[in-house]
Amino acid sequence: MTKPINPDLAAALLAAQGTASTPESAEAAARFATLVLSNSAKAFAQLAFEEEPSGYTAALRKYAP
Amino acid sequence: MNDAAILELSCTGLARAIRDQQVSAVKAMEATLARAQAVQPKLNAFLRVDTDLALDAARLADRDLARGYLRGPLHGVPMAHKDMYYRKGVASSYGGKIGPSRPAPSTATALERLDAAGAIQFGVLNMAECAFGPTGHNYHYGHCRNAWNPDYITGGSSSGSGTTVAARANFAALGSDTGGSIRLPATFCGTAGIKPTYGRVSRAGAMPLSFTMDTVGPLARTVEDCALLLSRISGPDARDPMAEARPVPDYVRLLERPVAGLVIGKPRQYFYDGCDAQITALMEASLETFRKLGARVIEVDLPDVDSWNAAATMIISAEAAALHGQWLRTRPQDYSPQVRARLESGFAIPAPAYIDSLRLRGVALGEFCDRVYSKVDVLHAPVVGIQTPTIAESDVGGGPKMAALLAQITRLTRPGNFLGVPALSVQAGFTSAGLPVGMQLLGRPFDEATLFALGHAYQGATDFHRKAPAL
Repeated sequence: MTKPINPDLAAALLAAQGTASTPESAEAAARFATLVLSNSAKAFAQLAFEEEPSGYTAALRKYAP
Repeated sequence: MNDAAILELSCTGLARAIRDQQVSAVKAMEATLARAQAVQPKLNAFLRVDTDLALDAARLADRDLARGYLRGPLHGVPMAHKDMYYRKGVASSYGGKIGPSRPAPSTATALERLDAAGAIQFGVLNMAECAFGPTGHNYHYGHCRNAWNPDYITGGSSSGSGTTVAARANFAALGSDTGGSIRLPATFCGTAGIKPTYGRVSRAGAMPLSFTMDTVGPLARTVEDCALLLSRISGPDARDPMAEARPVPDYVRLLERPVAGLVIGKPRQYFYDGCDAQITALMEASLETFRKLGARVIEVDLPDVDSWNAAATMIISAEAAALHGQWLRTRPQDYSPQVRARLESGFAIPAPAYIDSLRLRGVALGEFCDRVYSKVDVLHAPVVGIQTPTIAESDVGGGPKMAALLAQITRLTRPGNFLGVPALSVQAGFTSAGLPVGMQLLGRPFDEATLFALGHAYQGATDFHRKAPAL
């Protein structure tokens, strides 16, 4: 179970990357990041150590008829 | 042939009529331009119509034909496209204020290939701002409206593509699909649309949103037209390093492949969770049609699609934030609140999570193919699990309701983007409100031909695609 990101942290992350958030957009960013990180955590934990992004292109070609 | 009869033709039918000199390219263009002008006040679907240029091009097409020169299988067919495909010397709007203010230095590969096939572009279409919205709302140019009922959304982001084709004001349109942007307007507006395999069609000269997920494909009234257009725009391209080198099948010739004996999978998980009862019934009716055509329908188990959806969303958001970063820093006020909020969310995605999302993609595709395509030829599912919302009720801006609405609309399309498999949307009937509903067929990587064969057979056995909105 991941912990929620609070809007202040999201605003700080955005500011550190040069983007001025509004309170609404910081809250939306915090909610969004919390949700997607939580929903993907289990799948990420099961990834093999050696897995890399190029595995996708190889899989596309492997499974083509 | 009168204007109404011309406008009822498919691309294939019109191209044949022009070739056989039953109708001139000029006459077809005049009819299309008049229809576009007539529906524009109701639909707000065109961002620009190039009347004089289009008529000049149509005259040239007629002269070529008179000299015995046929440019290709779309000779003289009028088309307008989502305003994110570059045309040399013209600035695209991207559906908003952000975008290159300078004219494009070169033409998109997909447009070049349609030009070479003889199609004539007569305008550009409304779209979700920066292709980052699934409803068809546009706060810069006005919301695009559904041809079946202008109070309802068109779906997005290829909003103008869906509604103009449905309205018989356009014969076919390029859309783009990163999270559902071809299939959503196709289902909400009642057209066909193909999201090809990632890499099947070059992205060169198409506005990027998420370079690892963006796909280019057509919307048209018939599956046959989608097959024809995809066969023309697909193939390797030195301008797009991800464009696949494998040969492009003759999708049109393969349309008549027998579908008897093909196995269609109905998912046991995810796609029908909370699905509207009318949509579920229409899906079942479409499966029954496939059974009558000789296909076998079996239920299949899916892997954990929810995690893929989250990973897909992270990839799109992080890449879109990176692409738009410079403008978000210097011109944030030029974005609408919803698009700005969504783009800014990408800055909150940690780099390891983005990379893990990319690492997961190949694993997920392997798992999906092993589990699903070892048993079936295609997976059949609804495109959306909710009935078409009105423009007013889905006008949520950038506030707290935004994420829930967007997730609800794109929930069933996004897995196809994450996997990168081809997905064909075909109209499967109407709700009691008189609005179209679409099914999607998801195939093995680069197996668009099987989807087209099934979709074409389905349209041969049904007449939903022949019904026109009363505008």
